[in-house]
Amino acid sequence: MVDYPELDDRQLISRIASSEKDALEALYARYSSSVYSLAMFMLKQDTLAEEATQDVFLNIWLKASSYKSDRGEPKAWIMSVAHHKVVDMIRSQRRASAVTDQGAYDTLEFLPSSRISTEEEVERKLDRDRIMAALDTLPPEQRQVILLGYFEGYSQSEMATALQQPLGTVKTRVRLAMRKLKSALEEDVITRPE
Amino acid sequence: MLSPDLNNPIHPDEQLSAYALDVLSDVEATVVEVHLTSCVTCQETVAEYQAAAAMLGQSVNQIPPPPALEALIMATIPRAEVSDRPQDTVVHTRPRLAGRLTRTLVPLAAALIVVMALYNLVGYFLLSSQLDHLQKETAMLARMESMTAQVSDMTDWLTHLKVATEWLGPSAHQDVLLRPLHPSINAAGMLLVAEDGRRAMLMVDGLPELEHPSSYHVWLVRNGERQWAGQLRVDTHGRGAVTIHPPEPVFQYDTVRLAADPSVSMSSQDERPGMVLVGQILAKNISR
Repeated sequence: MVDYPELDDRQLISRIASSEKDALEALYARYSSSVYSLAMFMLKQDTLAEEATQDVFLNIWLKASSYKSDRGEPKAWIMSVAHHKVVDMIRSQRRASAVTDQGAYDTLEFLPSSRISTEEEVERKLDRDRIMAALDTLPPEQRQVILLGYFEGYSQSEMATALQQPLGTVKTRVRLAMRKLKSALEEDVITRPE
Repeated sequence: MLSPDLNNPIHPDEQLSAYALDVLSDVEATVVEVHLTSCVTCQETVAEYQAAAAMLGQSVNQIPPPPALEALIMATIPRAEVSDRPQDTVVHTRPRLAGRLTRTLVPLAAALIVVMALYNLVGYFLLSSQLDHLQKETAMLARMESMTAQVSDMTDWLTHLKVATEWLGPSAHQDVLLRPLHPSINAAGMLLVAEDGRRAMLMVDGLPELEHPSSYHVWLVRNGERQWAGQLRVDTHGRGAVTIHPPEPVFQYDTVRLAADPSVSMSSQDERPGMVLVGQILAKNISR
């Protein structure tokens, strides 16, 4: 008798790839809150967050065999799948509203102000010390593109429009920001006491 | 296991972090994902960036999902097509290439359709232009053909005149003027008679062109009896000529007449259907 809750993430994903439904239930118990919370934070509607969560775990069930254990942590893979799903939903809504609602463009134009509130919201809700410490290492303009891109679901070109900056500038900021964020978090992992 | 970098001499280094952050456009992300399917080095780099991005995602305040959601998901899964699961898919870090491709290819297909429609539209205009050009050329050719026919008619006419001049020679001859039998016919003719009266050439102008096989006939009339002497056709300008060799000298006849085929009515008031022109022949001893 397999004790699924005792299996690590890689083992669970491997068993999901073998169509073991209990393994998916165990993985769901482990990550459903993280997925749902991210979806709620970004989509701000519980029905949409539930839809996103459902799609994410269905996707994991169908595509588990594409995950290779030597290609990063399962947690990063799962959150990546979740984030991509949520971003898809945000961009779809944005495209739909862009077609039917001219006001959506006005919203885009005023993103700098909405960015501030989002940033404050992020600062309240983020799991503070660690991620904020990492974000604090970034220059404001680099932190801005991280928050807009990751939590608001904006593409680089959308950010360039919203921030009235050249696309090349935005790309450079994203690249430098991610490089610094990765370094800061890796350093934090190394130096943080157990 | 994939061999690193064998088929990927160019790595999209500049875009890997943006890919991990989900800020690339669909097209850009598709390019990266295609590269990732066969590049271990970039897969590892992306995995590192994704780990950092995942920390962002996990750091939001944790909210448990509704309890019913798990049951809903688990109830959905048995209905999923297990056969659709990619058993031997190529390695890449996120299972979304198919979706990317769909979102990328559908707009590309739509763009292709638009391009093809534009191509057809341009082709239509080009063909229309060429068709107009061909129609103009055809009309020009028709005009040239008509002009050629006119030139040909004129050449024939001049040839007849030349032949008549040479044939009749400077010797004395009589010319008989043929006039319309009815005023409604605006035509005339000239019969040039050789000195001996046994050769003559009739030239006409202004006669209606008759449809083939109808033609005009030359008659020599004496004491009410007529002798057929020849036939002629006229061109589009109503001109025609014919050489006749009457059985007796022309001077021995009273009149020369030109008539169309009996079936052709030249005038509703014509008492002799088909009769067009008539000329009075004078005796040879009558000086001109």
